[in-house]
Amino acid sequence: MKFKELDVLLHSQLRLAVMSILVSVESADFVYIKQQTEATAGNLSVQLEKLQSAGYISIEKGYKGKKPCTTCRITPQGVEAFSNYVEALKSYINK
Amino acid sequence: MEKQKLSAEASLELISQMINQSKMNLNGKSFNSWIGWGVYTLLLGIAILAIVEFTGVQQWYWLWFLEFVYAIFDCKRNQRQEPKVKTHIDNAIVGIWSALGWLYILTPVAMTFSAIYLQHFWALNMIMPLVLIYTIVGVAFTGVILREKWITAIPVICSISPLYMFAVISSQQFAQWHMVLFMATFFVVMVVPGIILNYKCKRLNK
Repeated sequence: MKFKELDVLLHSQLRLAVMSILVSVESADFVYIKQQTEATAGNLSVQLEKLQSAGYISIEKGYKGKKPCTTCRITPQGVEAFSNYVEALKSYINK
Repeated sequence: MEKQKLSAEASLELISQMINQSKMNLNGKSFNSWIGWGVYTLLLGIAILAIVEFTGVQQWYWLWFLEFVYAIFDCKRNQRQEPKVKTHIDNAIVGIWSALGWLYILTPVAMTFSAIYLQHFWALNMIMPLVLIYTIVGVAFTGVILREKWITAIPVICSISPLYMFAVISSQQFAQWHMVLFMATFFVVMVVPGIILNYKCKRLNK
């Protein structure tokens, strides 16, 4: 049986956690993702940038009142990549 | 989150854990505004009825337009307290209430226009049952989206009240106690589901 190739970008604990959160919501802000993943702000910023560069998520920087706020959303490309990743995982489990 | 090698099983477990955590994130604050609306309407109604009773001047009924004061306050408060995460469920609920919000505005405006310029004064009596119908639809649809059968059932049962009011209006027998019926129904439709949902949200987010 041939295994499907796993997306290297998604096969990382933090990036996968971020994508799993974003696939199930409309949008989430940086603080929420940080709380859910229990990641450090620095590490999370780096991983979010990588996902954005790949076109998997979009990041919008704005303000909530006077406080700066970073809102993340999954893109259609991200949804497709996530779906392919899960399909590939299934092929490993059902081997 | 620690860096570690992911097995296929661990990846799937992580995915389901994160999805479940996010799905459970119902934002309790939005249901506080239901409770606020119910209590404000009840208090405003009691105040208006008392003023009309003591003064005998029916023009005080125009104070019902103070409902818009709470609407503006509620909109501003919701803008300030924007949630950290917006789920697809939140979006559907906001969509329903935004559409109903326009009906809440247009109905009193159209009925008042009809009464003043076309002399159709019976139109003013239509405002209360129509507002109740909009509220019942909003709460019931929210219940359907959240899959909460009581949140759907309570407003559906309460729909007897506006239907009765329509029947009475059509026979030209609108009495002052129908206002009490409106206040009581509005209170039950907004406050009881609001309390139930807030309780469930708190339990889920524990």
